[in-house]
Amino acid sequence: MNRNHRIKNILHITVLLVLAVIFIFPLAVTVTNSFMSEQEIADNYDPVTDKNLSSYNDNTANHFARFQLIPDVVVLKQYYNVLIKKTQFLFMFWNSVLITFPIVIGQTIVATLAAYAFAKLKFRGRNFLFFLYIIVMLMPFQVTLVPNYLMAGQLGLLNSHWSIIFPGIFSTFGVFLLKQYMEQIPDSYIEAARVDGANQLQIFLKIIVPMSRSGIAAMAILVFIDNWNMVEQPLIFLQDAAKQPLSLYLSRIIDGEKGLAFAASTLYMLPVLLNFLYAEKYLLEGIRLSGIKG
Amino acid sequence: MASLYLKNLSKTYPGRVTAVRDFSLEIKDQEFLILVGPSGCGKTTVLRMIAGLEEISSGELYIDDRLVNDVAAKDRDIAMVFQNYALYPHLSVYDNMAFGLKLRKIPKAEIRKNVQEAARILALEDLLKRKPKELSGGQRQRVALGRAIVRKPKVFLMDEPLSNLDAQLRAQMRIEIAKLHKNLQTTFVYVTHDQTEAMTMGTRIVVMKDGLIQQIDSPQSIYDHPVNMFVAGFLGSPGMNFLEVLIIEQNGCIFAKLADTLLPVPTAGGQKLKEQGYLDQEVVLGIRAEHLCGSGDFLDRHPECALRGRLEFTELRGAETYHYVRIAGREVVVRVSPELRAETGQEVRVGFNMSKAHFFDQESEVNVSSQWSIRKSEFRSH
Repeated sequence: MNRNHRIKNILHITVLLVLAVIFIFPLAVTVTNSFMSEQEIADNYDPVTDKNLSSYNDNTANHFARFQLIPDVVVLKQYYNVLIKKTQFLFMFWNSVLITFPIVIGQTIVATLAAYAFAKLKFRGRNFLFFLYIIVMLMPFQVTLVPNYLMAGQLGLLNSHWSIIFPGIFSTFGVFLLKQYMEQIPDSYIEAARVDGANQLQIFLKIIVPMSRSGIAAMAILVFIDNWNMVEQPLIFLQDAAKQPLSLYLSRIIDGEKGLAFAASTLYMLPVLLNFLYAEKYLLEGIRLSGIKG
Repeated sequence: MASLYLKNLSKTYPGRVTAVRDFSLEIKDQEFLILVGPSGCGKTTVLRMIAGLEEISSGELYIDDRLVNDVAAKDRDIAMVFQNYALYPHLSVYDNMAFGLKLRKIPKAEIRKNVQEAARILALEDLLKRKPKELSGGQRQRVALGRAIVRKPKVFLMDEPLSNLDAQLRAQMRIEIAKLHKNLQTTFVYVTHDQTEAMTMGTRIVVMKDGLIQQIDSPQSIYDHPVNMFVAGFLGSPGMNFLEVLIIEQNGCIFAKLADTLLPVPTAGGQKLKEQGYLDQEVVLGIRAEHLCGSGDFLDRHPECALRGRLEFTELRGAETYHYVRIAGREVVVRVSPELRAETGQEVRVGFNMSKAHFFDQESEVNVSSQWSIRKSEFRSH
């Protein structure tokens, strides 16, 4: 029995290790390659560039990329290029900040209030309204794209960050996640606060918000990641390249600038990664308590 | 300090589910009133209506002669202790206790004084900086009490506050709450389904079933004179024994015929049964375990009150032992001295102290032998 258990454990760990390596490998390649020289990167990846692949029938040619994790020489030139020499990266980074942060702050406020109402207040039509929320959430982005585009046009918001920020603030995902979370809070806390003399706003600010801290943090992180990485919305709503966020930057890097791509990718994922590492415990707890399963 | 008057209170939930029906009760100032009954009997709903957490469907609720039906919970000057304590997990013990006072904008110095005072009464002085998760069940319970007493409310409401504690702690907290009531001299309304709590803590008990009051009286009176089979069976541990008997008259005396034995009914009770037309009718005989005896003088002096039965199970409870004996096809519980030794399966004699017996109508289950059965204003039969 014990032996079987041990074998099972080893098998589990092996499978998980293999999966972890598969997931971490691209990340490791991106980070380590960002410290390589242009020449080293060219040596590694040129065999699989479009130009060389066109001579695929040539049996003598090498058609395999070389995934090298440790640079021969550590160079910071790519970072110098991204951050100082080419200002476009920083402009687009700033655009991302201008778009993502108002969405995260706005959606946190709106979703927390709405989720409280859906989870703890009794009012006519509550379930129907929440049903509508769920329907909207389940709809693919493409379905709401046209109405959103038309509305943004009517409001004169096209080609402005607000055309992305407003729909982002009122996205239904946060409401859904926080409602699930707040439903776990026993009503007796609210009732105790009512007996203690608290009004609705005081109950919300002094009881519900502090008790939902993990859920709110989890929602904020997920909203940040989602909006930091958005591509379709800025592509459609922001024609002016100077207003586009960092998520569109990588698609513009030309084939000859692979080193630049590695450094830009590393910098691009840094805020998300730091965010995750900082609030990992809230994220896990929030997702667990909100009953959202991956 | 306050008195409460609940006049014909009813609570009906959407879907026409009635939790409480026509509930009338006057709670005197400084009284310790217990609402007791099985789950779903409506006792918590009554408490929540008093607290202002549940809307009153019909009827009137007065606190100190002030109609409070439409007064918000926060303006009723009541405090409530919840079953799960409802201590705010993000606040320290001090902040939990001070929460209500801060909301009422009481000066900081006064808040500190009140909290320290409550902490001293409840022996919480060393725990004021801790968070609820760092406390034991008993300590949390005391913090919940502390949060209630710092506000010095007119009425304390408690919703099964001891149900999450282990047996030993529960017994200890029962005494502490009773002492607290004595010290504070305030009106307490306490909800429980535990008949031991009901019997030991309250000055008056309200027994409820299916949203209706069954009986209101002092613990001893309810125990001695239950108005119906439900109350008789619910209060007391173990509950009252019930046996179907036939009431007959022989030579001018009234007897309860059980199997082939004629158990003499005391004159007053027998007369009452006769007057109510129960002669030659089947009724339910109710008798508590301590009024049945398995040995001693009673059996020698009253051999006519003894029946034979088979001992099915013995339950040792330290100071006393209970014998579960099958008599005339029904199992009865007999309280015996722990010294009395008997083997399971053995035939034993059980004496019925008929002066303590009750008789219940088979249909209505109302006690037809007790003087209390005629006090219609004190109970309603379902």
